[in-house]
Amino acid sequence: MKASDITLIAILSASLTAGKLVLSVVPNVEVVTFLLIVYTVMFGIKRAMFATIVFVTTEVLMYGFGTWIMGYYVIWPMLILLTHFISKHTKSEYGFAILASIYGFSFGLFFALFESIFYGISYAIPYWISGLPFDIVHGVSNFIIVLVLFNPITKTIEHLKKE
Amino acid sequence: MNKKVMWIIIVVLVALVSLFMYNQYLAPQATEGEKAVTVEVIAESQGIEKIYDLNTDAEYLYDLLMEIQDDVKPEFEEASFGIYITGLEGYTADEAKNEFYAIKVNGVDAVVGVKELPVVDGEVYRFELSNW
Repeated sequence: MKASDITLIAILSASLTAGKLVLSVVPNVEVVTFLLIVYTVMFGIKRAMFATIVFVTTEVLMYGFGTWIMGYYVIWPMLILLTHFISKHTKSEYGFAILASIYGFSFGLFFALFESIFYGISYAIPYWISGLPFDIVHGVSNFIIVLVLFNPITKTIEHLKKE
Repeated sequence: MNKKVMWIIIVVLVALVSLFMYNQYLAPQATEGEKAVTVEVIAESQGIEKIYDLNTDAEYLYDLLMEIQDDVKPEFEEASFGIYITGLEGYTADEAKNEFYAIKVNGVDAVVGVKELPVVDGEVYRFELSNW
């Protein structure tokens, strides 16, 4: 790995942490999904994956270790893999907006299933149902953020890369 | 109309309908009527151990706490995700000591807050000063 890659990964992961902190006051509205999609499309699967691992590890340092953090180590890399797969077929912002939206809607379900490994399925069902309104907000906000910001941001990065 | 704006409006409308359906059919519904419940307030480090056997018509735990507020002296704080309990029986959880009031329903950690927890006949609600 080149020095420029290491620097880039540091910047990308820092922007993920900063993006998450800035929007943490608004429940379930976040730019991490959007940024990871953009980074995977613009910088490739490998760099995005490293940035994610650094980002999640930073979360551990900030919030401490919990079972949810293991879910983070799975769910964000999975998003990168799915983005990578989709970007081979389409570069349309609609495709990515739908992916981000589905991701937001199923976030609670994923964590409910994941936490059920530790606490049992009787914990998972109320956990998921009580979080559904937040999942709806998450899915809708992800859809809007990606649809509106994907093209301007990717074009800007493209422009910066040429310089 | 711009295609993107149209899609955003459609998605927001679908979300609003979904939220409405959720509130109608899936959100925890409270039952009205005379209910016999127990409220326990435990803060071991402060020597607080209070048990209240109550008969109530309160729909949600928050309403129940407000009914007995002169005794339990609940303090709340507003957060983006709703309200949470910061103090009971005159003792405020000290954030610097990582303290908070854990809510247990029949001994099991509650997954929602006091405003979403329906009061059900026979249940025991325990507020326990804990550390995170």
